[in-house]
Amino acid sequence: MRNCSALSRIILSGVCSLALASSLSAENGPQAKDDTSGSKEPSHSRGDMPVLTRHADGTANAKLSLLRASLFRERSGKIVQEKRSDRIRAVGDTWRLDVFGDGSGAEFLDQAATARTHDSGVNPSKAMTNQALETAGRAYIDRTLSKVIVLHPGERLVPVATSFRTEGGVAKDGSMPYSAVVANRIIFSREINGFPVVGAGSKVTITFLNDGSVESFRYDWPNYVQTGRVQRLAGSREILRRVQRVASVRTNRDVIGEITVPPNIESITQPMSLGDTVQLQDLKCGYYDPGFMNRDPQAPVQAGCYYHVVHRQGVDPYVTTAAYSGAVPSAKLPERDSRWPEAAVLRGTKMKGLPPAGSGGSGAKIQPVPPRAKGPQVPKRK
Amino acid sequence: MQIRVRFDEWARCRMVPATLVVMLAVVPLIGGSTVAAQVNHPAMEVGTRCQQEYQNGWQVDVGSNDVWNRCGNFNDQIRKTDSLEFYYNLHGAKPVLERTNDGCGWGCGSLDSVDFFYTNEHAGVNNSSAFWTMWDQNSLALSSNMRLGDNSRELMVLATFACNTLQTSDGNANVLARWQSPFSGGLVMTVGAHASLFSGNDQSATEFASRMQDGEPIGQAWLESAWYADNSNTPSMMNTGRDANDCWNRSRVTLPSLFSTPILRDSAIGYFCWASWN
Repeated sequence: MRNCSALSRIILSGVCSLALASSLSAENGPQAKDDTSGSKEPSHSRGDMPVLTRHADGTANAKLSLLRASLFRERSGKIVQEKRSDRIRAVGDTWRLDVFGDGSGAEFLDQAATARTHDSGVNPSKAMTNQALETAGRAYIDRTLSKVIVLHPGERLVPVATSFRTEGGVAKDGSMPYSAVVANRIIFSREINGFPVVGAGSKVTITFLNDGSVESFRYDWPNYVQTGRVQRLAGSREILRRVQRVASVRTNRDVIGEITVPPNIESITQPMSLGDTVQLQDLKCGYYDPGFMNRDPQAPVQAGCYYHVVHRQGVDPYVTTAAYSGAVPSAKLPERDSRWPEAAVLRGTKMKGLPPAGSGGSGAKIQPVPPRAKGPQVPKRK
Repeated sequence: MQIRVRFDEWARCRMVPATLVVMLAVVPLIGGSTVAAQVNHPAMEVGTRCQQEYQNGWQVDVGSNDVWNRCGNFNDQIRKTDSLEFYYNLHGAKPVLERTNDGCGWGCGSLDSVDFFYTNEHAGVNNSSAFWTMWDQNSLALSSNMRLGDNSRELMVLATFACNTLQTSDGNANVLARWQSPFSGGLVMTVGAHASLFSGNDQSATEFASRMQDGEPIGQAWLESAWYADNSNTPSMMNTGRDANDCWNRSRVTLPSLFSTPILRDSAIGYFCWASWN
């Protein structure tokens, strides 16, 4: 599901960000702008974008208390709380709730609901519609998550995708085929004065069973505060060239095909060629926030475009797929971010990793493999 | 049907001290909870084989050291509760992944020499086989040449961070053609993807292992960790059962219940089932 109105607002918001220089705080944010007052330039090429920083509003403990107040009032039984290095976990009889790190993210999972999914499966044609999911999702946020999913002036909660968990099966002889949708998922994101947040940050995901009950939710929902700095955005062709360059460096091969710049680079939803056998599957631009698990806490939240690229290679019947995703900076002069690999690539540096010590066989650690002990209960093999 | 209760593993269970402390602190309080904060399980023997770059560039290096980082993350997390017996690349690995030599041991990094095998490389499918790319140019390990779980440590779980190996869109006949052979040896479960899995967020490997260690069903841990890493990922899981009901019951296998899951081989297998996020 795509939110077209949001995208059109982005396209038309070329100059709106200039009015955002005033400081934004959790308590006293800016007034919402008239997003349609800007240029009709269908590109970021004339746009500027304020640079933000990411903050948690309160502590993890405070967020857990807020969630407990709304979530657990419907649940009885003993609750055990555990502090881990990266989260606080509350555990009930069939469910758990994790509040991560600085409190800006959380995940709830009800295993009792999960246990019902198979029995409540429906024919795929009867899965929840996108509209029904949006309605149910917004109602759940209003009812249960309104203390933690807070919108400030100029911000909007927008649905960006739906996903469905399906089950399938078949008997060994090919009979008894089965297919059902067992869970329905909607993802909301945030727009800030018409600019969407791309990446894992600013996402709320809610999973419903077909009976309408909630199996899980997960969110990453910080506050964003303006730095007072503004970035000039790169042009559409430059952004696509950056994707090509990143693809070239990542894969150590030339990705240099001619590209046709689409009219709306802010959200490419149809595959487009970047070169031989290389396709840009989609691209979405806005504020890039990789989420609390993957970001440099000191880094700003700045302009970026999230991409999915697919390489196909080989000859039928042995065609393989290589797929990778990430984000390229879309500001003309990106600010430093130590955990943004593409920014490092574009600066000409490489991120490091640790390959395994060996390939097995000669020279490697040779040890016998202990077989499983065979007790009296073990039937003889036929 | 062959059923072997791996009760012996309970006796050999090695508890990691930190885990034990958590157990002592939490379990008495929650009184038999099904979602305990951290759940003990019999220690598994785990093997990992991954490949970032390929001989003469015959396959794409996805860059950013994503593969090495992902596999390193998985190893770092899983070894907190289990025994990581080897971590190798995929140089010359085809024979030890296929039935040719899949029980040769830890030193050669074979599939059947561990209980749980994690791998990250490229992959694809055709009408008769899923296949995984080895480092060696033009070398592919084929699922149709695999029979997993029938010798040495008897592999129970095959986890593959690679594209397409659990594709179902081309029909059930092809699914059966690709996966009957690997499961016929007694493999309990495999996890992978029905379409693409995107490199880029290597934290999903940590989360996969962590969720399993928390007692989540293995399949669910895979589906959630891979999907949350990138909403365009298409993670899948697959297992077998004597019949459809048994298949769905077995799809909920966890690390604590893994060793007590009856082994199904050959004619004992009656049904294949799978689940995935689109």
